[in-house]
Amino acid sequence: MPQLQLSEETKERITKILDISRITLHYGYLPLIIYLGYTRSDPKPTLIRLISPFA
Amino acid sequence: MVEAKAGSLSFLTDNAITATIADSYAVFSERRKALKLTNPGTVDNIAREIQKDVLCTNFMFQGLRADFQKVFSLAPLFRIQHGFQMGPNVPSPYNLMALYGTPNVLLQAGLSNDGSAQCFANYRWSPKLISKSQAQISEGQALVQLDSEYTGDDFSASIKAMNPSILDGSLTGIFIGSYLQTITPRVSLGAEGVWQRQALNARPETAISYCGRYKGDDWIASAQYLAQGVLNISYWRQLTAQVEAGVDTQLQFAPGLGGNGGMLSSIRREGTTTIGAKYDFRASTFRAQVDSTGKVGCYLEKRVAPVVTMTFAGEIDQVKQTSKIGLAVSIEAAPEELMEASEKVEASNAQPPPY
Repeated sequence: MPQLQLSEETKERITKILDISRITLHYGYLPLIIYLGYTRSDPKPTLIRLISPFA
Repeated sequence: MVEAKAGSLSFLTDNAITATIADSYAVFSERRKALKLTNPGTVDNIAREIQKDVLCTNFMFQGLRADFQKVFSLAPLFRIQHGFQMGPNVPSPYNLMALYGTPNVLLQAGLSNDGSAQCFANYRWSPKLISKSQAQISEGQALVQLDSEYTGDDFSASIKAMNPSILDGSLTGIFIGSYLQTITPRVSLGAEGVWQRQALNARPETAISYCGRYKGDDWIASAQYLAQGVLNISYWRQLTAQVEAGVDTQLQFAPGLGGNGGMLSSIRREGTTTIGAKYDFRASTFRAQVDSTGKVGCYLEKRVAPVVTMTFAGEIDQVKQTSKIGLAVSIEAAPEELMEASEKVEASNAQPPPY
């Protein structure tokens, strides 16, 4: 197997970027989908119907 | 400029060797087309008819469940689902799910109240090539899976990577490649290769499994030999328009884990056979199964009203004297104008999102 040489500094930086993107994905992905659906739906739903499970 | 470039590179396309290769490839694909073979499905779905449609093992759940699904729009597809669950082995009582889909993109996310999230994103590059990505994130750790599937006229190929990483200094993760080819109109054969390396200090491991499938007029038989020493044989038959039945057998010849150091007697031989049937009624579906370990299970799904579906799942283990019962209600709400629109969408044969 070819060994890939990464310096400690680069490794740390990549780990940090991955950490941040993981947190963004964790808490940002569902709101992103709801935002996309809310703005592009046809007909556009009312906000109260979007949030409440019973309305 | 472009012409000059084409001229200078034309020796690559105009020589005798490439012409012969192109010619023979054209003849080959012409002959292949003349065989009128159909797509065989995928290696993962080699026994889909019995394992995923008829048997209720995959549908089993325990406790109470209520799902409220709301469809807001059909083109693009947008829906939100609130799920409530209670019972033993339920990790989180509430989860929220959202789905957004256009003919080429599918985005789906789920968030539970214990803080774990599931993210799916699929993209259709062309009618035959679909890429899928999937991430499961919980407290401080993530599982990532990337998948590309090519569905040809008479074959399916896919490449999958699970948790790929080069941060340890070399490639680690699990990589799976699979290929399934239709040989004759009834027979298809395929293989699946796995390469995995969990960490840099572990040795890479490889494994190959083989599978085959025979499709009769109203029946399908399939066999799959996995590298760990597991043989899976299944048979499915459509008895009438509403009734399907099948048998699924799993045999294991794996070396026993208890034996210390390769004792010959420690080879474990185990087998399970499951017989199941599925009845489709006008507004309900009933599945029942019995297996050789003494488990009897049934699964009843009934559409009570156009928007309400009730589900009952029950399983009794005669040997261990245990039982499981599950009851679920699912309510699907959509505005009335959407109901009419859905008929229009179905009639227009629009391409569904890449699930």
